[in-house]
Amino acid sequence: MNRPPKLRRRLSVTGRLCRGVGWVTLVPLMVFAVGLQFVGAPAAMVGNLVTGERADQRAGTPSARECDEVRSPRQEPTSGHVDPDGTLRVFAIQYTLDFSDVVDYATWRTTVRCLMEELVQPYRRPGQPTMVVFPEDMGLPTIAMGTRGWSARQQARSFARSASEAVPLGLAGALGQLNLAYAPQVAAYQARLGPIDPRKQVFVAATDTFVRAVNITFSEIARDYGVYVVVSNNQAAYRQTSNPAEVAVFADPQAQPTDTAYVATSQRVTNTTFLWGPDVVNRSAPDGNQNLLFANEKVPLTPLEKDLIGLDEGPRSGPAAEANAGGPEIAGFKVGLATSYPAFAYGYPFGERPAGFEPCADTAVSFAACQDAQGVTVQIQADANPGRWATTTLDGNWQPLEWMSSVWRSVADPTVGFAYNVTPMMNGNLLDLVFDGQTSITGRGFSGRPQMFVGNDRLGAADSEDLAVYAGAKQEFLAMTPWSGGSGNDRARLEREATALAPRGVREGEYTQTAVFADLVPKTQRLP
Amino acid sequence: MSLAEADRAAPLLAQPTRRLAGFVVDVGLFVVTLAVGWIVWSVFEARVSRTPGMRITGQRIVDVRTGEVVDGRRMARRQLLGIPLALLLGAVTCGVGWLFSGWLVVSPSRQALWDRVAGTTVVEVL
Repeated sequence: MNRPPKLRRRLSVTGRLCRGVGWVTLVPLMVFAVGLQFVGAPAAMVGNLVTGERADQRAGTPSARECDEVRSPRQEPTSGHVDPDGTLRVFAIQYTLDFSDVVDYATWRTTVRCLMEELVQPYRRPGQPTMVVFPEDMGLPTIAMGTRGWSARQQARSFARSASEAVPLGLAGALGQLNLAYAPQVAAYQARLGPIDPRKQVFVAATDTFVRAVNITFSEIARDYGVYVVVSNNQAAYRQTSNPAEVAVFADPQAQPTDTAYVATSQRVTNTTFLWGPDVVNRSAPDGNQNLLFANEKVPLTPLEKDLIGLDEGPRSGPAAEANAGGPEIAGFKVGLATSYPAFAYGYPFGERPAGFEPCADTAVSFAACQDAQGVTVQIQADANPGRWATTTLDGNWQPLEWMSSVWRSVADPTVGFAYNVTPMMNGNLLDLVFDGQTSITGRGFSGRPQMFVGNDRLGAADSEDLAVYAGAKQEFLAMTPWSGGSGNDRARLEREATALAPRGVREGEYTQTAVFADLVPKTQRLP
Repeated sequence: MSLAEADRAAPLLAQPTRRLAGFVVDVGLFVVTLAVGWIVWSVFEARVSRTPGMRITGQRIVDVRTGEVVDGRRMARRQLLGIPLALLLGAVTCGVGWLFSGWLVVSPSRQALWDRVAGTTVVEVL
């Protein structure tokens, strides 16, 4: 039986013209874009062979000219609080996220070393231990490193970079591209580790890239500059291999030629915050972990981390959870890592700890209280607020006011004894996603010039009564960065400024890159 | 049947401009309703072979050969296979694939990429 012909109607002259124009423009463009993805990796390898550049070679100190090329256009000098009695100077880096920082390993390492050269080195005190804290998700942009991230980086510069914050189609498209670019590694890990949740498979597949861009890069910075470094990233545990077959499959094409690969040892992907010291403590550890002092696995996770990218939570109870909430002793302080959301998790309202409360019974509910129970004196809150800063949260609260329930509560709530809170905030637009916020350092019992985040002068009509204690200027701020959108307390105006900074706003992406520091004094350690 | 006869026998295939209008309305509804409202509405509209945007702009999805409305399975193939395929194509080509997928509508059968996947086209409802 003959199939009936397709329904059809002839095109008009204009239609035929449009069709012809499309064939000669769209199709070659598409072929070009797809082709680049396949020729990119060999081209990078040949390029590296010709130039002699190796991704695993140690980075040096960048020149002023090199820093000029990678510096954020809105970088401001570091400010801070000096105390002659301080024994540890802590820097909180407000990094402005930019995909152009991850063209290749050399660009990335130059970028982060220039942050050290320009925002940290000039402000260090000789002979005093230094800790440098980078924001949460500092390693996230490196997933678009090199040839495999080429199309995602191009997308970030094109009209397709964002749809809306509510429906992040730009982000979904980039994740699709990255899954395709990492397909050989995804397939290899699926075969090796069993079925992997597709939401997080690209993070497992990117293990080799993450180790080179995060673990090795920042552990070298800790050693080269003689400082303690804190950085967070979503990644799997790994091992090092020189097996040629594994190197061929798992090593980043951008890193070729190389005789080393870093391979995920499980499909568990956690939001891990690393703390590296200036000295090697474990020579048998793989590259990037030899001077690692502590690693924290985030718990609880935000809904975005749990539901959208399928991350795995850190331990919630038992000895593993207590160890996760603890931390190492550095310069007389016990340093604990509470990566954003966990720093809000007390399990009870401000100052109202119930009788018989067990802080470590479930750290998904009371991580901060458990951290206090472990004797932590310096709470490091590496942070990346995934949204506008000057806005109302889904709970109806003014966001900067809500943020006080972590950064200020930790040093003001009488039911806990943290002496300091250090919170660097990621800034920048990642496709549809906005990262915005003010970086701060707070100290218990500090009586400085009263300061507050933007719009925090009062409890608004829609704000929860629970937040009343956080309103108004507070003396516990040792240092705070100004907000990229301006200052003041007119919330309607501040919201308009936040819109201007967001994707497709009139000041899109004009966030401030800077840092703050403070000298931490042992005498302000735990209250009795 | 000659091409000229096929032309005369065809129902009123939706013009690319009207297709674009329907698409824009669908995207707008998707964003405004945070996806949820649009998806729920789509389930109801799928039973009469159209999307919410097509309902508003007076269009209907039909079989490209018979001109008859399509069943739920064909609708699912168009919406759940064809459109994600176009998204993927766009994703690997820095957005050019999205334009290409839609631009295919400018053809005698007025079939975008997702229509070709499902063997459908779109007619105007008078």
